[in-house]
Formats: sequence, C-alpha cells, structure tokens
Amino acid sequence: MKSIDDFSRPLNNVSPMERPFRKVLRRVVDDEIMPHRRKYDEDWENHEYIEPVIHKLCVGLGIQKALFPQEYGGWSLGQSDYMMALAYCIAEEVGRGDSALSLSSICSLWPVCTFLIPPLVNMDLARELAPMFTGEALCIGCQAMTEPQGGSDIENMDLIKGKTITTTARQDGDHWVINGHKLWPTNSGGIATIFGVPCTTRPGSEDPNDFAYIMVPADTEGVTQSPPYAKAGMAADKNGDIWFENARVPLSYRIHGPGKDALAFKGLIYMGQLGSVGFAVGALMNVYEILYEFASTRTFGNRLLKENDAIAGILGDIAGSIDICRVLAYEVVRLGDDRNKPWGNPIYSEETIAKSRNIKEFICDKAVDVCGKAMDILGTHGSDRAWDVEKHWRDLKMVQLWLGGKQLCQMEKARYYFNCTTL
Amino acid sequence: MAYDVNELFPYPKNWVNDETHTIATAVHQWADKKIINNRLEYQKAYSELFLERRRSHNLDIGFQRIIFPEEYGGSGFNTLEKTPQLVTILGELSRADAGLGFMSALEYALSAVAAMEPNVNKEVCDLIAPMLCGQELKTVSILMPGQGIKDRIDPLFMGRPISARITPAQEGYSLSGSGIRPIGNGAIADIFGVVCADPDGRPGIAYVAADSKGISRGEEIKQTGLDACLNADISFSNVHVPSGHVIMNDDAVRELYTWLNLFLGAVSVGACLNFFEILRNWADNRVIKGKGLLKNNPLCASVLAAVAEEIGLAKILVYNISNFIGRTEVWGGHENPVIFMAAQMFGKRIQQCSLNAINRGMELMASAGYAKEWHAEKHWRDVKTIQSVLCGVGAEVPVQLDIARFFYESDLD
Repeated sequence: MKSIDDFSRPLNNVSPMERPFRKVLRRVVDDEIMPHRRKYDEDWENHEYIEPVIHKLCVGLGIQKALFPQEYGGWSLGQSDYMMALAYCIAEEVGRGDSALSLSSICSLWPVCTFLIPPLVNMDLARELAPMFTGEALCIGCQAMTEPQGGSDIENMDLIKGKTITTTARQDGDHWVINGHKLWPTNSGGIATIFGVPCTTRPGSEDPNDFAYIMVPADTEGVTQSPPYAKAGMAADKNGDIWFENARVPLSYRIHGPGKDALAFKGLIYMGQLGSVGFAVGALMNVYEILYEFASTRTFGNRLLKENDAIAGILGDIAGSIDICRVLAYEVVRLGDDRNKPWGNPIYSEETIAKSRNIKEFICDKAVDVCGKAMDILGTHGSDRAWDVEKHWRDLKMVQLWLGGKQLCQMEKARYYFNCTTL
Repeated sequence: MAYDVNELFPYPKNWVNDETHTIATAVHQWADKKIINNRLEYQKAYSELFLERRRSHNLDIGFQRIIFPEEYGGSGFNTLEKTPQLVTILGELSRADAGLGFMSALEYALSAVAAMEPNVNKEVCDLIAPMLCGQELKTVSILMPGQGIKDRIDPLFMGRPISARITPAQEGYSLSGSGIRPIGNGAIADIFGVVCADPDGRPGIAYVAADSKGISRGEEIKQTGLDACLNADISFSNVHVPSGHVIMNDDAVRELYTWLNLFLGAVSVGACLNFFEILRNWADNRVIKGKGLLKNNPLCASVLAAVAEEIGLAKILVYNISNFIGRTEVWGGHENPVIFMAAQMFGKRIQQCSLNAINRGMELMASAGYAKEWHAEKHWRDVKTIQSVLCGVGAEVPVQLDIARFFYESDLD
C-alpha cells in the first residue's frame, strides 16, 4: 500500500540526520498532535493544549537550540550544508499534524537566523543569547516585521528599501532606544520571549546602511504585547500588536551593523519561503492520508469513490499535485543548502529570493486548490472538523497570504525574470 | 463615495418587479442596521444575537411564513413567478450573515416542493405550515442522497446513494436509517425533509416532525462555517410517517435539488456582495508600495476586477435559474428536465464563482483577509461550507454526470 513516504524527493538533498529525526518527529505528531489537534481551534487564546506541544518540540526535541554553535550548547546547524533540508523536514513533518504548530516552533528561530547562518555570523551575540535558547525553558523568538501603515511593504526591500519603516532605533550611550509599533508577527500575542526588530536609524532613508535589525527581549521595559487576534485558523500561532516605547537594549543586540543588517533581513525572506513550502507540503500529505481513507470507505453509485473513473481522475490530479509540490519544495531546500557551494548563492541573493518566492506562490496556490477540492470530495463531511481537511484548508490559505501575499511574489518574479526597473 | 451594491452588479431587472425592489430595500436596511453596522458586537455575542436577529426577520417581519399559501397563514409567495422575490430576500439576508440565509434557504427549499403552485401538497402543508406559519421560530433540516459506505448496496438517485429507507407500515410508512448526515441544521431542526427510498428503490421525500418517536441525533458537529446552523447526524429507527407526508416520486427529489441550488446560490451571492463591500472599503483606504491606493495599482486593480467579474457572473446565474423556474409559460414546470440540469449546472458554477471571488479578494487583504475582525473570512468559510455540502460527495462529479446524462444521454447508472 502506498503511503506519504512514496511522494518524490531528491535523495541527494536529504540530510543524513533526516531519517532518525523524521522518525522521532512523526512519532510526536502521531501520538501527541493528531489526537488533540481538533481542540486547538478553541485553544487559540490560552494555549492550554498547544503550549506543551510547542515545549516538547522546541525544548524536548531541541529545535530551539539547533542553530546555536555547539560550544554554546547548540547543534551548530547553521554551519551545516543540510541546514535547510533539516529545517524543511521539521516544517513538513510537523506541518502534517498542524501547520501552525510547525510555524510557531520553527519561527521561534527566525530572528536568530539573521546572525547564525554563514557568512553573516555574529558569535558575540550568539554567545550572549545562547543561554536563552539552549536551556530547559521555552524561548519563543518573534520576528516583528510588519508595520501598521504599509502592511507588507517592509518585505518589499528591493523596491521600498526600508524607507517606509517607522520603527526607529536611536543610539544613546551604550544602548539602542527603540520606538515603534509592529503588528501581526508569528509568536506575538503575548508569548514571545525575544523579538527581532527591523527598524531604521534614519526614518525615510533608502540607504541600506540606515536599516537596523535589533534583538529586543520581550521583558525589556517599554515593550508591550497585545492579546492575540482572532483568526480563521492557525490557532497555534499567536499574532498581535507590539509597541516599543523607549525600549533600551545594549548596542551589541544589533545583529551586525550598517549594510549587513539589510542583507541578513533579506535572507529571512528566503527562510520564510522555505518554512511556508514545508508547512504546505506537510499539510497536503495529511490531506492525502485523509482522502485515501475516505475514498477507500465511501461510495458513489455503489462503488468506492476511488474506483469511480471521474472521481479517480480528481484523486489522481490531487496526488500528482502533491508529488510535484514536494519536488519543488526540495528545490527551495537546494537553493538554500547550496549557499556555500561554488555554484550556489547566498540566501539573501536576488536569485534565491525570487526563485523561492516563485515556488512558494505556486505550491500555496496548488495547496489551497487541493484542500478545497478535497473538501468537496468529502461533500457533507468536507466542512466537518472531525475530518481535518477543512483545518488544512483554513491554515493553508493563511500560508498563501502571508509574507507579502501573492501580488508581491508576482512583482518579485517579474523584476527578476524580466529585469523590470520601474515596478 | 456612497454606492448601492445591488445596482453595481447588473442583472435582468425586467425579471424583478417593483414589489421585489421594495422588499429588497427594506431587508437591505434591516441588515445594515441590525448586523452590518454593528458587526463587532454581533460577533462577540454571536449565538445570542443570531437567534435574536433570526427571530426578528422570521417572525416580526414574517419571512418564516412567506412561502405558504394565505389560507395556511402564509404570505402567499407560493407561486413560481415569485421566485425572484425569494432569491432577493435570501441574498439580502445573507449579505448580513450567510447563516441566516442558509437557514431560510433550507426552509424555503423543502417547503417549495410541497407548497408551490400548481402542485400544492395539502397533506404535507397541513403538517409543516402550522409550524412554520406560527409564532415560534422553527428550523428545517434536509437529508439528501450522498455518500454510501463500503460493502453496502444502496438504492440510488442518479448515482447518489440513498441511506434512508421507507417501508410500508400501518397507515403509512416506517422510516429507518442510521447516522445520516444532513446538509445542515440537524442538531436544531424541528422538521426534517428526508430523501428516502422505498423497497423498490424508488426515491421520495419524507416530511417528518423532529419530535417523532424513533429519531435520535448524534453529537453536534463542529464545522468550517455556518456556525449557527448546528448540524448532527440523524438516525431514524422505525419512525412512523403518515403516507400523506411522503412525496413518492423522483421528480420531487429533482425539484428539491433545483430549489437548493437556487436558494443556496442566492445565499452565496449575498455573502459575496458584502465581501465586495468589505474589499472595496479596503481598496479605497490601503496604500501599496508606500504611495498609491491599492485600487489605483494596475496589478491590484486587475485582481479587484476579477472579484467583481466572479460576483457579477454568479448573480446573473442565480437570476437565470429563477427565470427558468418562474417563467413556466416558457420553460414549463419542474417536469422539464432542462430545469433540473440548468439548476445543477449553474448552481455548481455559482458556488465556484462565489468562492473564487472571495479567494481572490482575500489575496489583496493579506492578514486582514483571515482576521476575524474584518469579517471577510466568515463569508469565505460560510460559502465554502455551502459549496461542499451541495456536492454531497465526490466534488463536482455527481453534477457533471447529471449534465452528461442531459446533453449526451450518457448511460451512467
């Protein structure tokens, strides 16, 4: 009998660590996420059921320390040629159970990617922050990017060049003083331990040297988080407002300095695409499992659904789409893991960002279509939360819309492939 | 700038009379006042306010009894030419909350099969009219043919397995069937419309009061949308149904599908019209690339256009179905197979267009598209729920086969 492990992937891109790690993750997903995930929607505010699983993934399995150097208690995954493959494996495998749990766990490391992935490494900051991430306490990182006035404009670095950023960083002696308002980031809504804050040292400037990325612990005086927003899905991912009012952090909490901060921030866009394709493909694989069961036990015209030629046609298209999406997702992995190879590019390169955005957009569009179609195959059971397909449908729509949404992806692709200069 | 969303989207106005416009305006104003302009309050106390608003339009305004003949205490909208009026009312209700529209749509669809002239079924009307024309809020649930279970052979309605069975019993029938999924409202219904099959496999519709002996309800089902239309699987254990409460012919089942496609199409279009209002407000106020308004950017404008196009098409199709049904002098009655086929074919398209419109529009709203605060996501969940339940099982395949039977005389049974 076929299973989700029969979907294609290029084995030469797979980390040697992946097989045992995937096995452990699958056990956690099957035993500790699948049986409880229907309670998550109602748990969006309190995280009574969700928080222990995030703890298990981040602390128990060690995800939160993975990027930190071994000498500071981590796994040095940032140095590995298989970093993206392993990150993708986590995103996909946990995403199979719940994409928001996967998101929350992985995004915890999103801000520290800015200084733990070569060539942009800041060992001093790594040493300083390692105790938070490598201990037994849950440490939730939050990349506080979006601002109220321009939505996802901030992610459009090639065009906007950070000139619309209103969150400011002012040097005052040996501290940065941060002021501004961010909203919507993953792992906000009151649960963040530390923020990565893109900001400007000169408001209105288009000079990348004026762009700053500064780590701000959530318990810093002057930092306030709102309660989480109510959303259509993704309950394990809390989102809210964050206000920085004269929040003071040491100068050493700026990740690199003029110029390099902007590059590191662009690299985060790639990381966001990598995670997104992992969540989407993981969820699709679970949709396949659910459809397999449904189509093998329900009938139309007194024949099993999967034995009806017309319905089989749809099922075939769905399986084919999932297979292609997975192959494409591994191309995003390859783009990142080749970053140090002679033929590779840094994750902040125009090519890597454009191609990963392209694939993310394609996979997400396909994923939303597939989930919608799967709901229709289930018919009167499609909208029933007990079958979980509709959960993936709600969640994947959100994956499709975040990180600047479809139109920004289209613009980035056009700029890259057609050398557009005025868009 | 102020605008009238109904006027923006063209539709054949000559099919809609002045009375309809008056009703539409009244419901539109009711929806604005009672729900749309107080959405946050409405969301916070949803169950309570939903019930209150439903009571208000069903009982105070009288929409619950509207479809019944006057002699039963109804408003006499039981002639086929009134179909556009019913569509208009459902659209306006659903603009406020698709759940309100959905509940009325099920009531109108089930009632229409029995109450519409020229085929008024007196015995069924005697059962359901006193409930629906009274002063208490009543809820209708419908159990359609749908999906069968492995290793079980079911009677079929155009390929769709029928799970409920009736067998002749003293002065009527005995109805049985276990764990059957209604298309909605199963947990709270006062009346069930059950598509069932007799021992010869002939399909029909049984009208059953929910307090009849032998009916049990499963656990309440949590679902994607239509949050207030609480559903549950229903089991019938030798439920006695008087013979007059069963309409025993497959034309009636076809007619029920036709009404459902029409009325649920109107519900989805109504939800889309409000989504359009939300999106237009968004596009009027949001800036892209640090400068121009969203609506003035060519890429965003093209997405906005696609949304309007889908909604416009869906609205036209709904009115077209109502025209097929309402103009008996042109199309005959429900006996004409073109009406069933057209309702299925257009009904499928209406749901696709509606969902496409919301899906595309949400792209421009980014996180506001899925934040409950903006309400777009509720329309999206509601419309998707309607689309899926209308499929029954197997996505669009059952309807495609209906269409193939009509156009190509395909032998598919």
